[in-house]
Amino acid sequence: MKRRDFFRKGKKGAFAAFMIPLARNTKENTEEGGERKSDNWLRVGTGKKGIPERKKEITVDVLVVGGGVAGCCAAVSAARNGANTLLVQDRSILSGNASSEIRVHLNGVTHLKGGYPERETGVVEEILLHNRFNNPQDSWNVWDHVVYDFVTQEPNLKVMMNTQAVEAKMKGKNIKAVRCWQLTTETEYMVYAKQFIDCSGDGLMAATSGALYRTGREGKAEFNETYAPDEPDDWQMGSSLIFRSKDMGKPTPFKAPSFAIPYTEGHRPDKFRKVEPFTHGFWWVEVGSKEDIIGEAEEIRHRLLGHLYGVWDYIKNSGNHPESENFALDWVASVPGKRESRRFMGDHILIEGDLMNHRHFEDAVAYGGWSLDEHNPGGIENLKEPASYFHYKFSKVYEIPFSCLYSVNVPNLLFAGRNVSVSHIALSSTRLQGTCATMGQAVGTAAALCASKGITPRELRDSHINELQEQLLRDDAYIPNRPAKDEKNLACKAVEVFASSTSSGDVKRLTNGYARDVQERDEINHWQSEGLPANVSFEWEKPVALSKVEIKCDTNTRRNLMLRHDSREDESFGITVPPELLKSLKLEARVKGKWTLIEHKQENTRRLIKFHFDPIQTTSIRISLEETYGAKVGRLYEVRCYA
Amino acid sequence: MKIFTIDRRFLFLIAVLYWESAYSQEASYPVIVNHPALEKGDSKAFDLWELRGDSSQLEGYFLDTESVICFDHICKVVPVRIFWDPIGRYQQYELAEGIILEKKEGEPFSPEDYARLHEILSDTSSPYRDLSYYEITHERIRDEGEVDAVTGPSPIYLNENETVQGAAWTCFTLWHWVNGELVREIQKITGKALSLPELQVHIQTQDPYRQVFALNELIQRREYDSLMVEKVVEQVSVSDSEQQFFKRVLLYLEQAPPETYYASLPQLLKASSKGRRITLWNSIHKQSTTPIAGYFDHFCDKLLERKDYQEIDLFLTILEQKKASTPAILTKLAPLLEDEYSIVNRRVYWYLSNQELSDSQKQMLESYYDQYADNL
Repeated sequence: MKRRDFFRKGKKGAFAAFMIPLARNTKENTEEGGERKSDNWLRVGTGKKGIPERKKEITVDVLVVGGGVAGCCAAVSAARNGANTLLVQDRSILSGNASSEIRVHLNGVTHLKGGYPERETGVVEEILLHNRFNNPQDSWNVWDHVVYDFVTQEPNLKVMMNTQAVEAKMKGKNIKAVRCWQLTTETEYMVYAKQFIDCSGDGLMAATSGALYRTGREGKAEFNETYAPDEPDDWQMGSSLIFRSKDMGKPTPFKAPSFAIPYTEGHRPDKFRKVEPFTHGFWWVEVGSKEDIIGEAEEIRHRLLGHLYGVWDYIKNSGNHPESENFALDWVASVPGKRESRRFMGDHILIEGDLMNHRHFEDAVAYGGWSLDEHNPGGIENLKEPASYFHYKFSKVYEIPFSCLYSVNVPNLLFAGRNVSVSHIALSSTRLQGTCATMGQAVGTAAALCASKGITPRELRDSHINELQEQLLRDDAYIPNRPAKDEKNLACKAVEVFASSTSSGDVKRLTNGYARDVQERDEINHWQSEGLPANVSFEWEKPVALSKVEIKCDTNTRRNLMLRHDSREDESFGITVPPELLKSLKLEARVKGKWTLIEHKQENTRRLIKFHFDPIQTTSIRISLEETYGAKVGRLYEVRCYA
Repeated sequence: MKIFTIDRRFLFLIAVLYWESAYSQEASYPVIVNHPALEKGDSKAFDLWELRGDSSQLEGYFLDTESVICFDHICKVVPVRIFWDPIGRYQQYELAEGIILEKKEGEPFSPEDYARLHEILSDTSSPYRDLSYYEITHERIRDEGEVDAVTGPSPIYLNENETVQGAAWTCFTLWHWVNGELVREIQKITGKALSLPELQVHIQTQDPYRQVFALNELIQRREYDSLMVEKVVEQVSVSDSEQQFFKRVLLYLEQAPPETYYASLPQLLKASSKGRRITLWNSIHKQSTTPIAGYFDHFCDKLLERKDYQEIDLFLTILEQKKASTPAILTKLAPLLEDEYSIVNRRVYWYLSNQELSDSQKQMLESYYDQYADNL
C-alpha cells in the first residue's frame, strides 16, 4: 500500500514505540554507601524501595491534544462553551510554530491579492491583542507566556504541559480514553473524555485510534487539481529552522561547526532564496521527505541544522556578502517548524477547486486566504526547483467546511490545524496558523456542543450546524457568506437605533449580521462616530428583559498584529495596541424612564466586549464610547442584546 | 510678474527654465517644517518665497528643495522648485535647465513620468499620504512579489497612475513637501496679511478649500464681528453638501461668546438636514453654558411636527440637563400623551413626570400611565 493511500495505524506498533520501561525493582546496589540507611535514593538503588509508578486518571468533557495556535483556540473555545476541557501539550511552551522555539509568523489571511492586509477575528484575535498589551518589547519568549497566560486563565480549562498523548484507547469505533505521558513527572495519565480533538500536527493520538489518514501528494487526476503532480507520489512539504543574527559593531568571524552542510548560492536563480536580509533567518532552509517524515524527524532536524549553518557559513565566508562582516548569529532554532505529515480524512476532503472556486459550503465554519504556497519537494536539498510554488493568489477568502474537521471513521474525533481533511495542494494554503486558528475555534465550539448534546460531530453537522455557526459568529469568528441571524438577539428587535454622530457607515448596520467589513465585496458593516465621546442607542417599543449586551468594536483588521522578527511598523503591520480599539466605554439602560449605569469599562482590551449583568427590564440602552487607544473616532461593528 | 500656466501635457517638457531670472522674488519667509522621512524633531529649514503679480498682488509661493531626502549619499539628488497658490494649493514643480529626474538604475524620467509625477503631487489623497518611510525604503512597492510564512514582506500594490514606477522615493519625498506642513505655513503667512473684508470674500466663494482657510484664520484671530458671523452662518445654508465647512463653522461658533453662539443656532437648525440638526443639538448638549430663559420655546413646534424620536429625545435631554423647561414647552408637549402610544410620547411622559405640571397636565399623565403601564 502506498503511503499516500489510506492508513489504518496498528495500535500495537504505536504503543511499542512509546513504551518507557518502568522497572518496579532495580538491581541491588553494589556501591558502598556509608551510613545512608534512610537515604531515599539509596533505598531505591538497593531495591528496597521501588521506583514510583505514577498513574492517574482524569475525566473531562473534551480533550484537546496539541498546544499550537489551533489547539489553544480549540481548548479555549470548548471551555468557554461549557465543556470541562483539558489541553495537553508535549512541550514546555504553548503556541507551536508561532512559539519562541520555532518563530514562524502567525500569518493566515494576512494578505489577499491586490488588497490590503486582513486578519482573522475570534479567539486568535484575543491572543494577538493580549500580546500587544503585555509584550510591547516584542519578545518571542514573553510571547510564549502571554499565550500561556491567555489559555490558563480560562476557568473551565486545565492545561498540562510536557505531556504527550501517545495512545488512544478505543471502545468500539469511539475513543474512550487517551494514554498520555508527562515527561517531567514520569506520570502516565489516562484521560477519559466525550470528544477528542487532535491539533498536534503529526496526529499520533488520532493515528492510534485508527482514524484514516493520508500522506504525500495526490496526482492531478484524483481531484482534478491543476497544481498537483501528474502522478501521485509521497513527497511532503518540509520543516524549516530559523535563526536571528545581529550587528556586533565590529568584524565578527564565523567558523562553521562540523555538521554544517556547504551551501552555494546560485545553483539556480530563485527570487525566493535570497539571502538578504540575513537578520531573521530563511524559511527556505527547509528539508522535506518522500519517506516517513515523522520517523525521520530527528535525522531531518540534524540535516536542517547542517544546512542552516551551511547557509550562514556561505553568507559570512564566501566573500559574496561583505555586508555580513559585522554580523553574528544571535539565536538559532533547534525545533524545526513542520508543514506537513498526516492529513486525516473527514466526510469531505477540501481540494484545490474548493478553494479556487470559492465554493460555498452550508457547513462552513472557518476560512483561509493564503496563496497556494506549495513548497518544493525536498526543500533546500532540491535546488533545481524554486523554494516554493506560489501557484495561486487569492483575491478573496475561501470557506472551510466543518465536514473537513472531524474523522470519517472515528465518531468522536475532531481535528484542527495542518492535519485536517484536505488534499496536499489545499494544505499548501490551509496550513497557515491564522487559518488553523479559525478551525480550532470551530472544533472547540463544536466539541462542546457535541458533549452537551451527547451527539457526534457528524450529527452536529447534519442537525445542528446552524447552532454551531451562530455560536461561532457570536464569539467573534467570521464565516464568509454566512451572516448571523440569531433570533435571540434582541438588538435586532429595537424599533429605533440611532447614533450621536456618524462619520462612516451606518448605525443600522450594527445588527446586519456581519461583524466586520468584507474586503472582497467592498462592503461596509460598521458605524463610526465623528469624534469622541459618542453614543449609540437602541430603543424598544416595550420593555425587554436583558442580562447581556455584547459589542464588537474595531481593532483594524486591515493591519497585521502578529509578532514579527523585524518588529515592522507601518501601514500593514503594527507593534502596538491598535489605536482604533475602544479603551473606555459605558453601558446604560433606561429603567422606568431613568438612565441607569450598568457598567463602566475603563481598560478594555478586547474586540468582543461583553457586558453581563443581573437581569433588568429596560426600554432602551445607550452605549457611550469615551476613549480609544489613540483614534479620534469610535467604530463599532455589532451590538447584540440577550435576555 | 505672473505665474505662467501651461497645458499640463507639455508642462514637463518645457519646465526647464532658468529660475533665477524667471520670477520676481518679493519677499521670503524662513520656515521650519517636518517630513515623514526625517526623524522626529529633525525638521528642515527653508526659505519660502512670495510671488507677486504685476499689480503686486500675491500670486503664490515657491521654494527650492531636493528630489529626494538622501541618507546614504548614494542617491542622485537634483534641485526641484515647487509652486503653490496663495492658500497653499500645489500648482506645479520645475527643474532647472539640464536637470532631469531619474528612476532606478539611472533611467531618466520619460515625458509621461514627469506628467504623472505632477498628477501625483496634485492628488491630496494620493496613496503616498499613508505610506511610510519603511515601506518605501524596503521596496515594498512592486508589481510582483509574494509573501512567505516566516520573513517575507507584504508588497503594496499601487495602480500605474498612482506612482512613477522605479521612482517611489522621489514621489514620496516630493508629495510630502508639497502637501505636508508647508501648506499650513503658507496659509498662516497669507492669512495673517488678509483684512476682514478679504477673508469675507473667501468665506463667500463657495469654494470649500478657501472657506475653510478663511474660517481657520477667523478662529485663530477669535474674530466674532456680528457681520462676519452673519456671513459665515449664511454660507452654511448654501453649502449644504460641504460637511467639512459646516463642521468648521460649528467649531468657530463653539468658541464664540455664548450669546453669539446661541444667537446663531436657530438659523442653522432651521435650514439643516436631520444629520446636521443632531450635530447641532449635540453641540448645545455639550455646552456648559445655558441660554436665556425661553430660548428653547420656539423649537417645539418644528420638533413636534417632525416627531423624530432621536431629535425629540435629545431636545428633552437638553431641557433636563439645562433645567430649561417653561410653561410654554409643557403646554405643547402634554397633548402628545393623548396620541396613540409610541416611543415618542413614552419619552414625553418620562420628561413630564419630572416637571411641575398643571392639574390638567397631571391628569393626562395619570391617564397615560393607566393605559400604558406595561410599556413603561
